Amino acid sequence: MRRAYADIPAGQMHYRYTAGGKPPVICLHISGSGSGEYERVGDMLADKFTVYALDMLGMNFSDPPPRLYSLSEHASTVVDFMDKLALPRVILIGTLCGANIATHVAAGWPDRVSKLILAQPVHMPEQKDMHRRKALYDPVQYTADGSYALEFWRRVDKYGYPPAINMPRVTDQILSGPEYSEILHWAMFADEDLAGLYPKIQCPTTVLRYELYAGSPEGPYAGLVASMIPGAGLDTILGETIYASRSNPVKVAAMLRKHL
Amino acid sequence: MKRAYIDIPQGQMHYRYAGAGEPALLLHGSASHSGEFEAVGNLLARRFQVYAIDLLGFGASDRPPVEKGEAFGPRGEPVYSIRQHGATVLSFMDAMSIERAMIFGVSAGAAVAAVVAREKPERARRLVLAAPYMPGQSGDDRGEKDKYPLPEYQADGRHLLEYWRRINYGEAPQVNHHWLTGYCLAGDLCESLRWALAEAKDEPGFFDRPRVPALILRFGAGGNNGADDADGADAVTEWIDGAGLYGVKTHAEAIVDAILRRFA
Repeated sequence: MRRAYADIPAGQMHYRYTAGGKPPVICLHISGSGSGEYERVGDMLADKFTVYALDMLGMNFSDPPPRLYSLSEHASTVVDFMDKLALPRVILIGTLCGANIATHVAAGWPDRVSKLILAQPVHMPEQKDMHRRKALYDPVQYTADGSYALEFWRRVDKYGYPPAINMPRVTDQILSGPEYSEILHWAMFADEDLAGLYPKIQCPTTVLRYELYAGSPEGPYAGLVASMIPGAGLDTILGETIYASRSNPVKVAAMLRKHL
Repeated sequence: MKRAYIDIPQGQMHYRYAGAGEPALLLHGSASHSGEFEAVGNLLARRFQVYAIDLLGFGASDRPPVEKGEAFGPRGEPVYSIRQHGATVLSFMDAMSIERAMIFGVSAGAAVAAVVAREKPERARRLVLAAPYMPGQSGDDRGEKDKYPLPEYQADGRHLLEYWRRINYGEAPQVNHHWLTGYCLAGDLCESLRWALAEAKDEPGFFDRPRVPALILRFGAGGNNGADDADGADAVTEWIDGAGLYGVKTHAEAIVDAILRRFA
């Protein structure tokens, strides 16, 4: 994928893209990550689609947002991106927090989204569980001896992947820095209950789950999310968990292609 | 500074830009990227059209075509040479239709700036060499590849601490963070500029008398300002008092003052 910037009202949005002229697909990354998450998957889908992978404001090489943004405000920046590139309607894919942002886009701008894929949306019926987890995502604090770098590592190295798979996300967080690396988590934990938005989604929707993510707090609820979205389908990426787009892009691309 | 990409024959090159006027190119040092120049670039932008480049393999730029590297790493692997990085700077200038520019390089970037001015003096209006890391000036250069092998990724993340050990010269962590980021972004190329410098020292006349007016900025407690390091007919040295190796970040105003005094 190639890389570029789109100047949107709130600042410069960095993104990756494949060759133009095909049906557009926009991909939204997980918290504390960046567009590189979709680098290999995007290239694999480029025969049939023009794939855009966005870096949310504050992440990777995008400008920071002017203040702490809500997920709804991050969703607005996705629409701003679409306006800037003159994309009237797109297929929208989001993973984890990116799926929650995509939900806001599809529910808030139904005429702009032709199809939706929510990979492991973060929805937990017990709101207070989400708020309790907030302590885990306090801002990383600089230390004179550099040990704070290991705190970024610890937050990424939770799923048993080899270091080469962890490093890109660690790099994304170090690039965002202690001030911004957790802003998407904070927005997600403070967000409205998406049970109010799911029934508003009008476009064909598929909810995907990762088989090996089922043990996470939000893991078991993918089916519940699918049941709240009119006509939504549900599918499972077997044998994988959330960094699969880097560790097994062939499998992820095949699953996306099935539902695109 | 705003950010953008330009295509050069060797790949996508990422850069920062600001200002208007005579073009000025800013070249970062080892395991760094153009973000090093946010403060200097914004100050210079009052008088120059500033471009701070991510050399290929660093920051957000593409990897260079490493298989064509003319230098060699500690295991004999091909490494992009200082001369080849200089060629990418000229490619950037061509792609941006920049005929001549002031070229400012810091540390390893000073070696790249010097090679551009040496090989194409007609493209370098003037030269600013800050904390120049020039091969041959330290007797220890032969051991550079041994002193800085590639830190292998560790399962517990402790390679991040090795990055920190290599970048920490006692500045505040908020300053060091830039170079920690640089190491992470460069990945397996993080020491490639250092290795390339160790190679370049064997090139005859690598740092010849500059053929263009030059300002050499030394970071540290001053010696005499003036023509101490008169390596060329028109080279002046200035000391940036109190600046350490990361003076570009910590002493931006003093650096820009020195440049404007010399070249305004």
